[in-house]
Amino acid sequence: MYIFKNAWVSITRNKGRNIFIGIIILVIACATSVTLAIRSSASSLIEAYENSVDLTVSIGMDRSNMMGKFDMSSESSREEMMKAFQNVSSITIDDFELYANSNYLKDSYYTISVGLDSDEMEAATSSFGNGDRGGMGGNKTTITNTTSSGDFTITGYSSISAMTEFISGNYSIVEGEVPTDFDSNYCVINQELAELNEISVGDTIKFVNSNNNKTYSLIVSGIYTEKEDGTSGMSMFSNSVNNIITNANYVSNIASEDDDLTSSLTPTFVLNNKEDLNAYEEELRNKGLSEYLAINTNSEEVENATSTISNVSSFATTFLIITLIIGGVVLLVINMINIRERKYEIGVLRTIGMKKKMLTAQFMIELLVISMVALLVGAGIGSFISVPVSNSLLASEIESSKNESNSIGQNFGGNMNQAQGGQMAGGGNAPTNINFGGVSVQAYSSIDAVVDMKVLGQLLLVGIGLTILSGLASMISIQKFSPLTILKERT
Amino acid sequence: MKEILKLENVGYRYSDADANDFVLKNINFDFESGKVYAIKGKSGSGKTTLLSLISGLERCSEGKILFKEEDLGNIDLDYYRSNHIGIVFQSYNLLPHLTASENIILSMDISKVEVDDKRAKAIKLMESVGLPASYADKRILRLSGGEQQRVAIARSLSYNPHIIIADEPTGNLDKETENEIFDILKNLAEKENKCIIIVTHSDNLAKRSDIVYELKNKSKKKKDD
Repeated sequence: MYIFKNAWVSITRNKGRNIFIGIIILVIACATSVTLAIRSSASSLIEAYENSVDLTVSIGMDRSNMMGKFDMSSESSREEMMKAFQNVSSITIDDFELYANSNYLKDSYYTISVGLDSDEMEAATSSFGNGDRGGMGGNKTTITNTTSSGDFTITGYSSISAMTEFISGNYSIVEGEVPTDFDSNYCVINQELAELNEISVGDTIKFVNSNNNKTYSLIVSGIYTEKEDGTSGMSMFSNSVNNIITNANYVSNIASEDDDLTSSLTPTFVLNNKEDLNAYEEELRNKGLSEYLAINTNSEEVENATSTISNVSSFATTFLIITLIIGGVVLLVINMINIRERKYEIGVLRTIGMKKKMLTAQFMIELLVISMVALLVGAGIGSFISVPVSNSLLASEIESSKNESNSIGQNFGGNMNQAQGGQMAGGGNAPTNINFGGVSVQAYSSIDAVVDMKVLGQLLLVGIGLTILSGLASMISIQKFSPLTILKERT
Repeated sequence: MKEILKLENVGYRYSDADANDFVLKNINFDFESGKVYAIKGKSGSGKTTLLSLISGLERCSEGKILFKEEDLGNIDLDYYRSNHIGIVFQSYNLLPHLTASENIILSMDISKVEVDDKRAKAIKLMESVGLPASYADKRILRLSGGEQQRVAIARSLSYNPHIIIADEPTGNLDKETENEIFDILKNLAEKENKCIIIVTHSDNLAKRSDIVYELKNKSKKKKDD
């Protein structure tokens, strides 16, 4: 069709005007490309994290539910509530195994704690006294039954996954290593406790149940330090310095053999799919989980962990919208000026019989060709610019995550340092393990993940859409031009 | 000979003018093929308005204009302008970013006239109005006024229209060139049987025309030569 030929001739023979329009679109395309690239990168990172982090379920006392069922203004009712509270049975290993036996789960683990005294060791004390923190899964809602009247809390872990304090870096090994044999009687102790009692790695420490004088021995395989002050966040009867860390089998064995010991179990269940939460809760209720026990998840942790990236994405979205609005208005004004400049041409073409729709189509083709060229060049420049921009926005996050990941290995010490720390290494163009809130996930540290066909497609769509919209508005003015008036004005 | 164009009680007033404020009133002109018509009149007499009505750039407020007995009010004026009417302006109205031949070819494209080799035809038309083939690829602004007007005439002939309307076609040209341009138009009437309508101030052109219509005080006077 002749309008294509005519459009091409018009583009190539009016270089100054078209280069000016092209530069404007180029600037818009560059800004749009950068913001789209940042959005895409942030989305990839969040998606990678959400896909990598499991939804975990823990079980805790549902106090609000319990209090809602009793009249708190009545003394008798309050007594009934206290009775009900005491009657809510702790989770046992049998319960755990029952709940863990589900098709909705891909993993499960627990910690189990008992309280013991020692005739040979002096417990660390603080102004707050001593007691129990409720196990290593302490950052999750747990049933914090007071486990004992002992000076020391012996906490056993069912697996490495359960050792969230080491994974998060709150605890880290300074000497020796965390025992990986879950049938042994090895343990790790707090550095402060070790110094207080002059205990070294390889020493055997003994505990006693004061109720029946039964004794238990553990071999120290490692000494750890705690990032936070051990007295913080404790109950009135505990000091985390006195927390002795061993495996769950050891603790459950002594608890089952010693009737005078009371244990506390903190379970964690890992769901196959995030969508299975409601179904799994229903299954737990059907299996007898008390109505006074609530199902808690780590979904809030996931949101908190990705909030920084989400903020970057939101910023990019806002910037994109502003860019498009300003760019659209600028493009619209330039198009209208362009049309006014070409009034004479419009008048001549209309006079010799060119239909308005053909004229509009020709002008639109010209604008689209200029836009496409500018968008492609802009995408290239924009993607080049987006490398440093995106990286600078994400660099601090990635760097801190890398440091955190590397430090996890050091927290475990010994073999775990190689096993975990080695996996955390990454960089260059390879996917890197990024640590969010103590959980390692894969994400891209390279800009290769930012600039892709998806971004290019989005840019072209946005650019063409913007061009058509701004072009259409100015094309409407073509319809209003009278060829006779235009030619009279020129004469 | 049967008229190709007939104006019956044509009147025109601007849309924002008073009801009785007509620029043209009761115009009854007939135009036949093979003749050169001159429309004369003082400034403000409505010559250009009449031309715009005949060429389908405006629609009349009263009466009707019949092209081959068909009312212009009932036909597609874009098609009418691109196929049946050739318009030549005083200021040429060529597209400056195109060459001489491209201006002519564009007109052929718009009219959708079927031509095997449009460039060859454009060059042939240029030669017919006294322009050498070497001018075909010259940009319009590199041509003189007379040369541009010849290109404009060649363009108006490119789709073989029945009527050529020329608005002060020699207004910007010297006497010698004026005669040359008129000869071309006269030749088209005599040899190609075109109806040539010239709006002019020039007494010289009026005298050489077959029929002169004079617009005076919103009325017309016919003066056969």
